[in-house]
Amino acid sequence: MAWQAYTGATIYTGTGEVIEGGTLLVEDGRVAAVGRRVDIPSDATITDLGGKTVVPGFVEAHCHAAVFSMSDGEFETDMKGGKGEKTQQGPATPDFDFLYNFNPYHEHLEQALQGGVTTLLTRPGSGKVIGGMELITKPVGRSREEMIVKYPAGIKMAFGENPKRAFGVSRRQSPSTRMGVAATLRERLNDARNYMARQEAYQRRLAEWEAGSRDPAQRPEPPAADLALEPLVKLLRGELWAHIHVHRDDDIMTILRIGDEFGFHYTLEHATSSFRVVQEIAARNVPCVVGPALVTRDKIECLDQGFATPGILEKEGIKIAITTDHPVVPIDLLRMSAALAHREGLSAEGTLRAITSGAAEIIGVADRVGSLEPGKDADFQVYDAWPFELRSRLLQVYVNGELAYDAATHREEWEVHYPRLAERYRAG
Amino acid sequence: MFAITNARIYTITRGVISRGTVVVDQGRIVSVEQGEAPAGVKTIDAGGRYLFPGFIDAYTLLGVHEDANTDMGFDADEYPMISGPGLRALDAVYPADIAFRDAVAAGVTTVMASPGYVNVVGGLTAVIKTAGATVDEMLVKDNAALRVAVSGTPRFMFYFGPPPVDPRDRAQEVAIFESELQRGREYLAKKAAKPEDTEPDLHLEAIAALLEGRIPALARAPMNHDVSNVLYLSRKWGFRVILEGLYEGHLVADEIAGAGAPAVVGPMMADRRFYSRYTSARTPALLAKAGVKIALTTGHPTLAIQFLPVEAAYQVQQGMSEDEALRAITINPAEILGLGERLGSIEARKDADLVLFSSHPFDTKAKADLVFINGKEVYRRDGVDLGDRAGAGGAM
Repeated sequence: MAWQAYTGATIYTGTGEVIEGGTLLVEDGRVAAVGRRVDIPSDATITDLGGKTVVPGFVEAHCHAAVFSMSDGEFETDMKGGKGEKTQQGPATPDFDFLYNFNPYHEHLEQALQGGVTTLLTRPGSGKVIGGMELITKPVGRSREEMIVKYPAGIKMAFGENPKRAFGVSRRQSPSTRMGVAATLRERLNDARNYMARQEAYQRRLAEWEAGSRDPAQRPEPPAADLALEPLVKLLRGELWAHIHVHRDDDIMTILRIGDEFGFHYTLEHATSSFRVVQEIAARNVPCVVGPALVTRDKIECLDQGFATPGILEKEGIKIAITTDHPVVPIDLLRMSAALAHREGLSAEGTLRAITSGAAEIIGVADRVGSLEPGKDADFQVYDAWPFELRSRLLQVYVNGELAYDAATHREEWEVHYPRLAERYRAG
Repeated sequence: MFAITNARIYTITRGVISRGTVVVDQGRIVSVEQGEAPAGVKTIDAGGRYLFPGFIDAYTLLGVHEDANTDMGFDADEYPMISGPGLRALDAVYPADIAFRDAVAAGVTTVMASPGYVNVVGGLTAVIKTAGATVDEMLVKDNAALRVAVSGTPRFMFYFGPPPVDPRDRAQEVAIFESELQRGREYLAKKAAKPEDTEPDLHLEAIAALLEGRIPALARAPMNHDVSNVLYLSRKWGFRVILEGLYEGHLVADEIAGAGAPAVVGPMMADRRFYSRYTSARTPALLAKAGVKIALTTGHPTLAIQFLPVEAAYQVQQGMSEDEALRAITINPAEILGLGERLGSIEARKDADLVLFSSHPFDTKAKADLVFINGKEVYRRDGVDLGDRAGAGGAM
């Protein structure tokens, strides 16, 4: 691939900068330069985007895309699991290898693209206290390896009604209360801490043995391996983040307490009542992935749901992203969700940030995506106006510098299956 | 009597009045004019705000499926009954449901409250206003339509556990519906021949109302063959039909237009792929283009009720004209519900259901500042002061 130059556009870089009449220069799928004055190589392909608006591809920080489809009758089966027999049925499966549920040909990925989403974090559901490992992918690519941006990308955890319902109500097992949920997480973190201590003790003894007698009969025994705890060890070492599903403010406070006790990185996912404990969250610098709010309050713990939350958190300096929680809200409505948060008080700059660079930072991939800066992936979209104008239209989406969606030539599934019908509507 | 003056009035049926006055008396609109308020009338100065008729959603479970209380607040589907024509949505509407507050704050002032779609015949719907202490006070039209679902309901039942008994597919659902129609027909014949020997039957009265054309069927039709099935049944048995759902409606748009059946389409801002395969976000626009009278809907709680105007803006994003999108949440649903003389536009003699927006409701930053139902202020956004507290307020 050679040089591509996109000229004359209003470019929002995703980091707060707006460039009128700007040029975006792409080389081999990466952003080479962006600005008002960019030297365009003579062999570059030039596309005039005069009057158009360019923004980074959107980043969906929390969804369940490309792993199941209700119409396939696969609902839930792909959301639960855990490979170890010991953990398979339990409320804590940190080793659940979610990667193998990912279907790189899933229709959800096409839907993401049609909504301008070029990076998405897809993850296990919220029925378990510790659900398993998460995956970050792009919606297109030549292979699964090329699509996947990061795996594992974090550990899914959940508080509140969902684990209570999945275990206490549905299976008459623990956890059936909020005490039980908290205890389940504490126990597993404590197990992981003990496991780490056993490993460290072994390493110490081994070093002593190596420096000392080296008598084969005296060689220390390694502790029994526990694969289910390995992801939690990574969590406690700061190599992985926990992403914790939570709605109510009291559950948020429980998470903050456990975070203080064990010391690990985490985000609050949904964070419905976060505005009630905003100071406590801000004091610990915990990012919040907020949403979805385009649906009704389907549980009592969602009573505080609304689009005002992102704006309130922004004012306190809390890092935020906005989510559709696809398929709870269709992923192509990420832009609409952000626009409605803007309506309820989120700043214009913060609105774009919440589904581009801000989201990328929270899920740990800002080095590659979320903004249009030299060296980053050339994932961008073209609109006929500022994308958070409700009437604005998405025209094109580029992923890794390649045109991946074009509204002008795109054919929906029905248009492929019913070409004569489609022809009639186009003609009319 | 009071007047809202200095407003940009979107009458819907008679264009836009750039600087006009609406006079309201006893819950009704008295006049809609360019210019100032008549002398001696208490006025609310709209300060150039946008005045719209209250929005209407022709298919919702509002108040029937209570928000945030899905365990004990769910009253939409009496599923063990399989078919219950005599059930009435009115008996399940909970006026204190917080979703009514959401509706009013978004300028949605009238909805059809309906049973859901798990039963073959779900019961009778009711058209209600979205504010009031009792549902009787909110009522506009009781027994407005008969809810029918012969569109693969068992699929949904299987998700929440196996159905207690049949039906298990569309054919069985139709068979159950047709046996109801047959009994209704026999009931009517008997009533005509020997009225004194015919004991009233509450369920069959509802079927009789459908067969006699007094009420339409509100028929669930998410997929294209559902549309064809329902239109065929309506011809075969001679009843009127309002189609609802239509996620694939564009595939049979000509058939719908030919039948003259109105369509309550959507919600499109929902997981449409759950219901159908060949769905398109442009379905409502394509139906309108084919000449079908369409109303947009949230299908609350499928989409939350407060997003009805956003659903309309989303259609503009998908290529529908702004005018068509506005009609689809005002005059079209009013006419589909048989209330076109009373609701859906700003015209003299209509109900004073009026919404004063800070700007055009399709603008990102638009908010409803002041909402009236039957001429009574039912919502005022925090901090909005139109200098009328001692004025028109007293008249309401």
